[in-house]
Amino acid sequence: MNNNGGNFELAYKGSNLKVQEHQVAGQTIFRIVFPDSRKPLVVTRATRSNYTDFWTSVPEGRQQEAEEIGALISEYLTTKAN
Amino acid sequence: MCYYNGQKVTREEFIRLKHLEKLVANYDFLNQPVQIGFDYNLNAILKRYPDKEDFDIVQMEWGFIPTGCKTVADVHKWRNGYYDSNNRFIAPVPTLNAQGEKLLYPGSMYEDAARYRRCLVLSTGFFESRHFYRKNKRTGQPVKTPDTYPYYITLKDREYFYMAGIWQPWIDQLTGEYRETFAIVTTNAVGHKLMEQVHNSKKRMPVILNEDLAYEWLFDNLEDRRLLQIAKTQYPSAGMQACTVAKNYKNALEPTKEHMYADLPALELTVNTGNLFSS
Repeated sequence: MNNNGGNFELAYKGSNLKVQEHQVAGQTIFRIVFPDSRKPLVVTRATRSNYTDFWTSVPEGRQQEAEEIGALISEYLTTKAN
Repeated sequence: MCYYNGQKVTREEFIRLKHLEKLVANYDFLNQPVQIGFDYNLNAILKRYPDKEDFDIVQMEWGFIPTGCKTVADVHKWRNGYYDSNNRFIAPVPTLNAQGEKLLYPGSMYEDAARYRRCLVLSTGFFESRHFYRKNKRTGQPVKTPDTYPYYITLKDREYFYMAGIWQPWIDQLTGEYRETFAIVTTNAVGHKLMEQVHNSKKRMPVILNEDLAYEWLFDNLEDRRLLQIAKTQYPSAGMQACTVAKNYKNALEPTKEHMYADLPALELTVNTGNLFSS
């Protein structure tokens, strides 16, 4: 696992999340650390069978958080790129 | 078709995500930029399978719990100190580190673990503080209270490395809760060009092992003399590097990011050509 050095913070539901971007076996994942006692969340982009993309938690089970925070990550990355 | 997190995905995508799950499960906990011992966090440990030259990567709690602690309440007292029945404060007993030189001292709480439960602590780097006594501008004498500068120490060209550790299984006698805890073995840093200057108050350093010594520490049945020899290993300073980091690094977004201090003299790391083989 390599840290890309892509560390940033996101505001989410009134708190600041620490986000770290990593490459795991050539795949990009984001590890999210919460300021409270919640376990860190790992999210990545995946592709549905109809070829549309979605954010998912790895492992399964935290899909709602993955989608909400994933959308914020997309927004952050898009803003950064522009 | 398969489903992942309620989303319909192809079999290929399902397998990719499941594979990613395993990779993340194995390595997620390795990526802890700051392990602060006093938080008694979980760390990644190489633990030998019994009677096999193989190991598992597991999570253990940093802070060796001795057998004398019977319950969580005992552990809390041990780690934080407490007032006895005469209102006298009994000081806490730190067990994050075990001095390599004293592992086999008679009555040492670490003796059994040193002989039978050695492990390797995976690390990407560690923090130590350098104390520097500024000179009083009026008198020219060093001030009494030193300034503290944190350093982040890593190995050159190594993403991960091994520290010698010892571990201890523990069961809460009241609840049956099972934990595995460990201590990092440390050695004297006197004579070590880098660590003697960085950790200049206590002059101690973790026992960092190269692959050969790590293998020996984990798998071999070591005689006392050899065990203590390895437990006193100073990793060569030529293979190590250190940089100053922000004083609030424990709460920083990037705790290992270099931070320069204008008022701090640089470390003296020039090689004495007449003494190339010393640490």
